[in-house]
Amino acid sequence: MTGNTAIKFDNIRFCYDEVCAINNVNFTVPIKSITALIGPNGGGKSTLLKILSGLLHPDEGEFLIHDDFKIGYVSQFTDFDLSFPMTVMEMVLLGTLCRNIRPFCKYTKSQKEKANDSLKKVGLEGYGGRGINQLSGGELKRAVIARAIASDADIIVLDEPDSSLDVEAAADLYRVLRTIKEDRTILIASHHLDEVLDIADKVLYVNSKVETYTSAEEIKEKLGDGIFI
Amino acid sequence: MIDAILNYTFMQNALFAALMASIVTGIIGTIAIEKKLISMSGGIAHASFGGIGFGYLVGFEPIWGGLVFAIGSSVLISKISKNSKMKADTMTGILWSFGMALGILFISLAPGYMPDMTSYLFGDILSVSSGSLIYMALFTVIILVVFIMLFNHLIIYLFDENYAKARGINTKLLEWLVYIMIPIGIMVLIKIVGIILTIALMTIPVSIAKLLCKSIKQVIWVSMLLSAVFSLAGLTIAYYVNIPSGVCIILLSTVVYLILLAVKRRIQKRLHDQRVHGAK
Repeated sequence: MTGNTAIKFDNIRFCYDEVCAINNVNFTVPIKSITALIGPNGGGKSTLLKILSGLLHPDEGEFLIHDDFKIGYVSQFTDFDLSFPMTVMEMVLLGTLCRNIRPFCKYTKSQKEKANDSLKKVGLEGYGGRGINQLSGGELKRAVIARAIASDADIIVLDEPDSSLDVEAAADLYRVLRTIKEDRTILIASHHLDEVLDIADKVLYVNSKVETYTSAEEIKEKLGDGIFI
Repeated sequence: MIDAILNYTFMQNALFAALMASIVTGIIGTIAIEKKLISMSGGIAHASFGGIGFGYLVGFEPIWGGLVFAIGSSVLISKISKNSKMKADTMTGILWSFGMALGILFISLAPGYMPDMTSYLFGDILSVSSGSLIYMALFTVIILVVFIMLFNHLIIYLFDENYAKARGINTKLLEWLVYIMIPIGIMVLIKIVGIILTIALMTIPVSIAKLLCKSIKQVIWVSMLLSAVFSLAGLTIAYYVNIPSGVCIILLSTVVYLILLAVKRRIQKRLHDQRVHGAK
């Protein structure tokens, strides 16, 4: 796929055993935009993002990604064990690891510089030597975003990155997303409407199917007029 | 002790065996702990007894039978837990006792007197033969080479499998490697501490290292070093006092772990108190 479209979902359906999480989902995401995925719990936001990240395979339909675009996935819950002995730098470097399994795939100097730059971008300069268990919840989320940035991802997929963060940490996180939105396509699922509408260009309201897909401005106006989406 | 090492082949064999077991502990112990496969490893170690018994019955080197049973159990646990609703833990429990029962059956069916299986159950570092050293060396080299060659990919798989999958890394291949490396490593450790105590040697040195280090590379190096120290101390005690080496190694390492855990907790509490009082 080429042109100005980064992602295209075409009639996607996915079921967990008997229960279909999403059905007949169609939408396209423009390049270098931020799309907010909103909707109720169990509405299929995480499923959509997992399909996009290759963690789930749709039962029907197909999704297309712009040629050569790479995806960086930031999961909803911290998938990893915080007692894992790993420094922040080691975790961010994992984002630069070669995809093909081949012997002696070591980190080069430029990969280390890239990891350092990514940490700078998310405001964690100087944190590289710390253990991941020494970070606060907000710092950890930003470190995971740094890993996605270091992977040269053109599309960053964030599944409720602000969950379990206090107001200040969530504000820091959105500040970081604002700074990286210039040259990346971002999809973010969130329940925090105020913050996410502030940075989003488009909003996708999902409840098993796409209920609304429009500009963030329009949603803001509706909410301002007291209309529930 | 040094005289004994210089003069007796069995002491030299024991020394080499201890060093190889240390390498295996650092690598396989870290993998099993970080991937939460310790109870599965216990199941594999016990299931291997079926193969050891089969070796005795048929008349070939028991350790090869043990290896086949161990790899078979590992693959079975992985496959069944992925493709059915049965949990890996349940399958581990079944294979754990099934392997032991099968081992005892095979040994009791073997003609003549029932052999002494204590060295397989509790380990005996002083009875490692030159033949055993060869297969231990072979298994250790396989583990070491695979681990060094694929270090970074194995780490991403151990740390965050979903992220590795999302990055397009072949996690299935890495899973297969892990599920084959663990039983191979277990076969090295069985000779030192025996089937029953293998999990302890896989767990304790790595757990101590995790108390002291914050990077995975440091954990692996420190746990190798600790395992070597404990094995050599166990060897020394077993040489002078006539008790199984495996028992000495495990008791010693457990005591060290508990002491360090208490010391670390105390230090953390003191630092916490200082921060709280400093803030007031």
